[in-house]
Amino acid sequence: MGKYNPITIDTDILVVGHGIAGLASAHAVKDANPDIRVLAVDKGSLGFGGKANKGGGHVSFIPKGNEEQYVEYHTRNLGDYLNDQDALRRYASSTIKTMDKWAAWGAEFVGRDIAFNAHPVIPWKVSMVDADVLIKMAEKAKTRGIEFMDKICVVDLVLAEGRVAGATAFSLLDGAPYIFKAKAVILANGNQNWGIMKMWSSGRGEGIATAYRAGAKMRNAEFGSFVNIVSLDHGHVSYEAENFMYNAAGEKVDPGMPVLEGAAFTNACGGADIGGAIGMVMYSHVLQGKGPIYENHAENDFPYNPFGQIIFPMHGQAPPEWYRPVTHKFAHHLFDKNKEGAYAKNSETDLKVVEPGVVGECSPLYGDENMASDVKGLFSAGDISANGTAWSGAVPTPPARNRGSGLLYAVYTASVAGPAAAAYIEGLGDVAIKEAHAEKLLDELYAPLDRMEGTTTGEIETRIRDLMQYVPYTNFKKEGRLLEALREVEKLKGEVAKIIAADAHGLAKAHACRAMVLCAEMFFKGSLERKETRGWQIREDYPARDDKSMLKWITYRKGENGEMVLGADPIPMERYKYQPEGYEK
Amino acid sequence: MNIIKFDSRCTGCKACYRACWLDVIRWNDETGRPFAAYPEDCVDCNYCEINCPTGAIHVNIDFKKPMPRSY
Repeated sequence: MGKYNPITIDTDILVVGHGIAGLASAHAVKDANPDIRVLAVDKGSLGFGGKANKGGGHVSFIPKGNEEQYVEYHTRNLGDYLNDQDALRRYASSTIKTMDKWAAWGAEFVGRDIAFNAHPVIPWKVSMVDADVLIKMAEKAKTRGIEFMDKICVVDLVLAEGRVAGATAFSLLDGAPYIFKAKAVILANGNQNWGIMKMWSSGRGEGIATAYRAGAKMRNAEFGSFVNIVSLDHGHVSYEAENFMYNAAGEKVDPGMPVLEGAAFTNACGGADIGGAIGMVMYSHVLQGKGPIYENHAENDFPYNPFGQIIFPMHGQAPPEWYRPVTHKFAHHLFDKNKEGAYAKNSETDLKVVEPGVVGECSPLYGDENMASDVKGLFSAGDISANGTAWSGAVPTPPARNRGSGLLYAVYTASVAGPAAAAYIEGLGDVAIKEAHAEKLLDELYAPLDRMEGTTTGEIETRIRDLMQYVPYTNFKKEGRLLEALREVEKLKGEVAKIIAADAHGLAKAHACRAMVLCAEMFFKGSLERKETRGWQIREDYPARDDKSMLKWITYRKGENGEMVLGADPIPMERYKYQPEGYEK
Repeated sequence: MNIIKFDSRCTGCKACYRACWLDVIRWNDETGRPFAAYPEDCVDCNYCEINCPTGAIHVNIDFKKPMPRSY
């Protein structure tokens, strides 16, 4: 193919990403039809890609008979009435079936029969998987004829005759060009976390950008600013720190209560997780001259108490029925080396400076009830479309502030996308990929390597992280500040067009930078458009929820001239079971 | 920046290379050993260390890496 002579690989269904959603998608396709050829590719190595093995490994399921209670509670207290209630109900009704499928695909559950309630009101039950779950799923996948390739970065979809015909990619190791020919593509390569919080660093939104450039619709990007509490001593999450925070005046910091007079207050956590107000709460103390905020490390016994040792075993050992050897080793290392190591080196006091750390979880790719996008032949699973499906409403997702739903939602959506993609390609003939189209895409793919001068990936990464981590821009929003942020995004768009790379590793970072800037643009434009406070969207200038004009899902897509076009999908509230108080049809 | 070292206990099993999800650790086909190609991208997950069967890897964490501003 012209000057690039790419390595061309033929398959039926290409799965992009072989983390939890990708592995599950590949299995689900094989369940639907074992004769379909499935190839899953990832920028990492099999068994270690994505984020599933870098968190708690929690699997929260909804017991039979409690599904509707979950839907109502989530809609009213977490999603703030922006949920697609049909999608939420489908998920709630499928968690147990999904776990059964997942077990057949290699998962081994810990504590499934003794799962505990994780919420004071709604009965979501927590069981767990160990951090080697991806390795076990991969081993099983190989026995089913699923094919894998490591260290492959997919960049663009190749379209032909109005549908997906494959994808362009390059080798992360040596930069070699690839064309994957496929009748359908399942994007399962994660959401956007801007590379700020460390364990979320693999999620740079490359798949979101892939879909966007191919013309796919996006939704709900304005909710992608989940924060956790980060310790400045070690740069990682300090678990449970939110309950042991003090300001510089020695006053207790209530994680749900801002002290800034007149500030909007919302705390869409419903007792489930850190609430949307947490960044603003910490910021409000700082604005009063009472910063920084400290975690009293001596008070936070999470690493040492029995519950903590089950949830995330950083110290000591969980009881045998909850013991997870790989997670145990992983969490112990994080605690001993990173946390205790940093505290030993950095300060002798128990008061450790903490700040809101933007995780992000911007996940806007639209997916319908079949996890199909509106580009023919393009499906998705997992984090990439977690807000785009609207199942969780006005909260960052996964895990939709229902801890333990991240993994299960990924597997659930994969169990939908797999058979849907299999059904879509049934009887579908091959289409010829136009050489000029593929070559143009490869020109764009390699442009950062071809340029001799330009902007470095390091500069763009630093500037975009400064932007997204800044609480007054991303957690406590106001028109003037959002416009200020957008001006910086516009500058970054100019810089991204001139980005340079020296090798394949740099090329991967260059494409990640393109995705990071794109998602930032969606986030800020949507945040401006949503003139209200709802869920995790907190507007200083619009402190109330507006059920008259804001019951809609804000959409984004690439316009004909390359500009971003915003629109809205109406929410069919009139037929939904749970409606806001005072709602008028 | 973190400094990642490999000592003489390395057997060349590639476990660390596979476990590194951020392309920090690369593989040298000529020596049959891993090397830290992009340590600036290491996020201290320690997955290479916990997967090394002989304890040959040492991730020396730089606790002064810059963080973006929150406010």
